Amino acid sequence: MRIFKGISVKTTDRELVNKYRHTSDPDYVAELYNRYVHLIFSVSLKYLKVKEDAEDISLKIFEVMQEKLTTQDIENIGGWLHTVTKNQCLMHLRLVSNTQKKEDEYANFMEIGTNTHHSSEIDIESNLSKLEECIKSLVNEQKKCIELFYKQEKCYKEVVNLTGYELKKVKSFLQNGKRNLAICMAE
Amino acid sequence: MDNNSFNNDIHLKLEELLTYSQGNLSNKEMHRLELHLIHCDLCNDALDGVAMVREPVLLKNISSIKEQTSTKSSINIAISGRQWLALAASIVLIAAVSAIFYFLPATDDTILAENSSKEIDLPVAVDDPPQEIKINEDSLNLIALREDSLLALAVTPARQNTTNQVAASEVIEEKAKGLSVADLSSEIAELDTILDTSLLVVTPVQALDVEDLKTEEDKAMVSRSKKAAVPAAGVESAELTEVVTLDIDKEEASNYLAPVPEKGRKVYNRYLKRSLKYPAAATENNIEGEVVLVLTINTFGSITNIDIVQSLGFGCDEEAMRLVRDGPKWIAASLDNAAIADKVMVSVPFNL
Repeated sequence: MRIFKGISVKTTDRELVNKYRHTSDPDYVAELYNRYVHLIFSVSLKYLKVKEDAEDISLKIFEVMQEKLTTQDIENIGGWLHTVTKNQCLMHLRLVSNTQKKEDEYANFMEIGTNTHHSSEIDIESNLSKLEECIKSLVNEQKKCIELFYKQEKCYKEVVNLTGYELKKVKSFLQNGKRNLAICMAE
Repeated sequence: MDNNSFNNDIHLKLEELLTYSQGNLSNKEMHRLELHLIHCDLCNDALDGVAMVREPVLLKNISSIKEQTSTKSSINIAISGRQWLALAASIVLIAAVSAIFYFLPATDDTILAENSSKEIDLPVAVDDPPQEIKINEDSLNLIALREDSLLALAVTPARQNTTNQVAASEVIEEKAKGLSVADLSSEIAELDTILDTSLLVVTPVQALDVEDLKTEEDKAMVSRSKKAAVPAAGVESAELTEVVTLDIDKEEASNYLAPVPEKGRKVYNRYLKRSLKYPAAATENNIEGEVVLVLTINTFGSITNIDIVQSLGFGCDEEAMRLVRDGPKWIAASLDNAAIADKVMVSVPFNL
């Protein structure tokens, strides 16, 4: 069955989305879902903290995918799934807990899926000399982390050891540094 | 700068999530994953989630999700399979009817000869035509019924019809004795058409009789499930409302024992009621009713397949399947003291 439909490990996510949009054949979504199910479940687990609920939400996501992917053309499946899963979890939490407090705690997490950083990354790659200048313009901590992580290919743990910053700090320096670089490159 | 650093399409695999989370990776491998993690919220959140449970729990849950989503698609196949059966059955019916048409001319004369006295009498017996019409209607109904549900158990009604018919014709013949042959023969011509049609309708009744028995065996699955639904509706089978055996045919056989829950039906039904977690979506929408499942119990008493026969939606189907899957084991059906795989119907009531 699957061979007839041309589904294999090599089929990209994009191809699956396109084929599903044209044929509405649930097998394509099922394959896509199987590729992401461990991530979907783990993300649900992070927000819901109860494995039964996380399982329910994961199954719900399968239905959402079947429904939405027929109409929406989604380029960045990973990002989209993250947003959808997170929002489903938050909706579930709202439904379950009547306490206003929890709702406030999570309300600021709600967001709309974006995939802006992907296009900017391609720009970075195409213009290495400008990149060097931009790196120099970064704040000292961010510069240090970026250079260690990207140029010397150190892992988080090594960066922590070399700089003496906390792991959380390193992550945030890297993420902010990367964003600043993207902004700098776009100018 | 290496090109791979911007390759953001490859998300972490399950093994990578686990090994990274447990710190069982070399620095180089960790860096490779972190190049992705730095911009992927999905994998980052997933890592946080993975850290919250032990590995076997995670694996068990994920495989359970996979199982449930794959049964969903197999339900689709099951339904289309049933449609196939219906299609096949109607083809058989059409073939049977056309066969009757085909063989009719050959037997026509003999039947005519046999029935001529009866048929001639019909118009004369003015009081009786309603009976003749009734027979026709009944047999027509039978055909319609069969087309609808494949369930026309023509056996009893057909018998009644034939006895009716015989009785009717006897009465008619007695009445006809007083009349002259000339009067009758004048009316034969007019009745030729009626005679043709009535013959047609009378014969299918007997043909169907046999045909039904045959198709009943062939389409056992369909008719069985329908038959099983009948006792479920009956008041006398109060205890059986949740668990109904499918194979009535086999039950009639000498040494057949249906699959039963390990701790008995009462305990099983109590389990269904107590462990039911009413789905939020169903509560919101005031959904009540029952989900009817058909379980396949293998020779070891475990459930190998769950089909939804009657769906309720709003998460109830999933809940019913979860209950049954997580519920007590079964004792396999047996025939002549040997365990056999068999199906059993379970209905899960949802009452708010």
